[in-house]
Amino acid sequence: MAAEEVVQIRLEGRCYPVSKKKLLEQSDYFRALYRSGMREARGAEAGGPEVQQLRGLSAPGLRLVLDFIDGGGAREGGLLGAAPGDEDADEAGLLSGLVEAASFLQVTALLRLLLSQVRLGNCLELHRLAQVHGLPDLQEACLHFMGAHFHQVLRQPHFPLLATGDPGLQQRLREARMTGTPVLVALGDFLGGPLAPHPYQGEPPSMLRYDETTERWFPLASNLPPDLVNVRGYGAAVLDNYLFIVGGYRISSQEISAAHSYNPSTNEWLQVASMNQKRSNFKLVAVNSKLYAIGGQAVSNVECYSPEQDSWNFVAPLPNPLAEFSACECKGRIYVIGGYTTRERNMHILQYCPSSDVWMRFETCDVHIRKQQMVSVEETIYIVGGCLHELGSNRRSSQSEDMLTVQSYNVVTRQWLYLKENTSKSGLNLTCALHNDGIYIMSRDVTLSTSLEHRVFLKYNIFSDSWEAFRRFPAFGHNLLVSSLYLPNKAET
Amino acid sequence: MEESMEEEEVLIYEAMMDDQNHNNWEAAVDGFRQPPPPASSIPVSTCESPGGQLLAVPTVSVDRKGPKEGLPMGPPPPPDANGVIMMLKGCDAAAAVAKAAPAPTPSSTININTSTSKFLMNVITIEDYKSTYWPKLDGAIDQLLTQSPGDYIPISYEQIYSCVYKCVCQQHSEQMYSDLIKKITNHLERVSKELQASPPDLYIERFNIALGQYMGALQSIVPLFIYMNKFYIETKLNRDLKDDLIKLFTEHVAEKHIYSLMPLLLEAQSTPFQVTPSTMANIVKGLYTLRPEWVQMAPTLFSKFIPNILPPAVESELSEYAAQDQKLQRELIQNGFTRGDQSRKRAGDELAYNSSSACASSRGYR
Repeated sequence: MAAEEVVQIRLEGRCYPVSKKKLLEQSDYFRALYRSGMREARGAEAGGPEVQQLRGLSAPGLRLVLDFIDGGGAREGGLLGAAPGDEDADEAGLLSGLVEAASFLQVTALLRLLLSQVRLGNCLELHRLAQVHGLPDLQEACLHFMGAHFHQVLRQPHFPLLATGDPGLQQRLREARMTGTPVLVALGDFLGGPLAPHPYQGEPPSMLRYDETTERWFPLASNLPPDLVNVRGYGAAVLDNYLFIVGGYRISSQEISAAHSYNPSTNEWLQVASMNQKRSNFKLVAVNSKLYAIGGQAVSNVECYSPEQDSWNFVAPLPNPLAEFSACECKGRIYVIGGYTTRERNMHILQYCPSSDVWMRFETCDVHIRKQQMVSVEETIYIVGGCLHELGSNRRSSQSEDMLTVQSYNVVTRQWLYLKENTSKSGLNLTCALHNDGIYIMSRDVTLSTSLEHRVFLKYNIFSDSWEAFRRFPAFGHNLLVSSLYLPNKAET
Repeated sequence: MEESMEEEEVLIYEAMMDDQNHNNWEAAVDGFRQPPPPASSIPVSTCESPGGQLLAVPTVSVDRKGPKEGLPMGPPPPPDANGVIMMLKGCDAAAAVAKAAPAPTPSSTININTSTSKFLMNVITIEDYKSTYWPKLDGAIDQLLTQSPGDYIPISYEQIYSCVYKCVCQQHSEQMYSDLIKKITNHLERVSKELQASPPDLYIERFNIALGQYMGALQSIVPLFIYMNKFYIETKLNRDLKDDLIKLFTEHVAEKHIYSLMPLLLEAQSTPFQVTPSTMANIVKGLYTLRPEWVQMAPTLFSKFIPNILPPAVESELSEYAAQDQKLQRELIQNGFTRGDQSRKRAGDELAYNSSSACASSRGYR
């Protein structure tokens, strides 16, 4: 009895006995109360109360907290997983009761334990509670979790409600999403062989990451989903640091509409909603938090994917179906350049405005281009590779031969600049990505027209207008895609 | 209507709280709880827990203070106009019903609304804060600042803490912190003025009382505000409430008096019996806590109470130490103290600190 003094805590007419020693160990509230010298600090024999009255807390929440305290703070596994069955309805209530009781009584160990209890089902609610109770660590843990599962969080049924109550939430999530280290990632059907990364010479991976300090490629511990293997002509784009691979055709020449997204924060592929239209050799462009799948083989329609709804909807179609064209986002609009219509060369730059859902002819070019790649930095579009043909010039000599060129087009001044060429490298079938200060390009040498393809990996530095070559190409392979993603910092994983 | 009911509840509640017969206290609470409150024309039935409705204000104690004892300092408590009470749960539950009503089905979506805590259901506007919540805290702080250390504190920790908790969760931390600092600053400025008006013979003792009373009050005020300290002052301001409040005393009292206090202390230490050794020890230790640099003003005096503040003894000065000691002994003999047993020399040193020996203390203050 004397060894273990028990305190009766009363809430809503019910009493809960708790060991005073444990209470003092775990709860800053009770520690401060007994030090304060105030009425409740005295024992019953010295004129103090016989029970410690609490008000306003939820009884189930308090019970969980007192259980935790009684267990000496040691508890393994889920705090909230105790009651199976009625998950949603009661869990939210229980959670809020628990966080409140733990905050009110300042049970630091329990609040710390909550950091590891963040789940998809409770992250939004926990984040809100952390804000209300001023728990920066928990808020940080929730933000980190929600950033890592951004699109899934956007799809939570009560997200819209919370987002209206907290207008800055989406922005903070987006910031939490865009953390980590920007890393070049290459995917493709890599072949094994002497040039493959060492540990994978026998069994080639489908995803690699580039380490810039050692200039080496390392396998990512994730592979393409099986149904993406051997798919060609797909559309790829990065939206909210998810790499989307959409549509394309299988070697059996079937077109597909399936869509997958790779989440670098969790190193996982997820299948998302399929497009309404099967399409291949089209362009996938991310604009204003949405994806646009533009055209395709003999297809002029355009579909828009919104991650909040996980669904595709048709928007205004291209004026004509286009082949061998390219597109990119620039200043919140989509620009389509080059390629062929069903009848002739496409000499127009088309511009799509997402807010008005309208395509318009932005400008007419003097030079025809096809099969190029496009990226943009602020108001400048970089056009990498492709086949150029100057209209009116009757010589189809060296100019139109396969070489790697970089041009720029400024959407404000409408000025074209022919920036750089490299006659020994191919400008066709290349893949490139904007990364740090340049455009990283994977292509091949054109000097040897033998069957032995010579892969090259180089960078066009947009600030110094110069080429930089890298020694190591990831591996021989087909169907390569290079992309720049934020990977979690090592310390966080 | 609500107001009147609340008031009634509070009055009964206060009465119960005042009852020193604790056996009856519980019974009274139960007796009070059983029948529904008479004036309950608002849907009290919506609250699951009648017990939870009661939230007496700290002015409870302020009310009692008047007749009980004269206050040494501080203003009389303000007339208890709006400090009556706000009760939370009654209106909270009503609000909860209103809030939950438009929700169509009990799906997980609406859970976000309905799971909002009972505590925080009501939005506390800045007006609510000013008219109800702060006056409550204000009253409690007044009482804590003006009572003597060791007095029985009739304030309920749970009630004041809850009030702080709600204000913090409703984003009033900044205002509450600034109000607290302002309030204590005003109090300390008044304390400082009263000290200035003290006659020199009472000055040291009064300073000691003011210091002790304030430090005693902090023992209670700081725990009341730990929620604000942890979730606002520490996290947002990167400071600590206790340090801030101690600094206020330094700035508004100690700094203003240190130059008049120090000569008096030095004089007192050379005049036996002028101040009690415990007073001297308290003040010196207190000043050292407030601002260690003040040691420089009287290193010898401080060194009597604070270990290791003088430079360590060096061999080259040994003869000087001996001369000082001989001088002290001569003076003691002249003043009527016998030299005593050599073996008590160390023991006498120690006695200087426990104030029980006039001989030792006269030496100690030199």
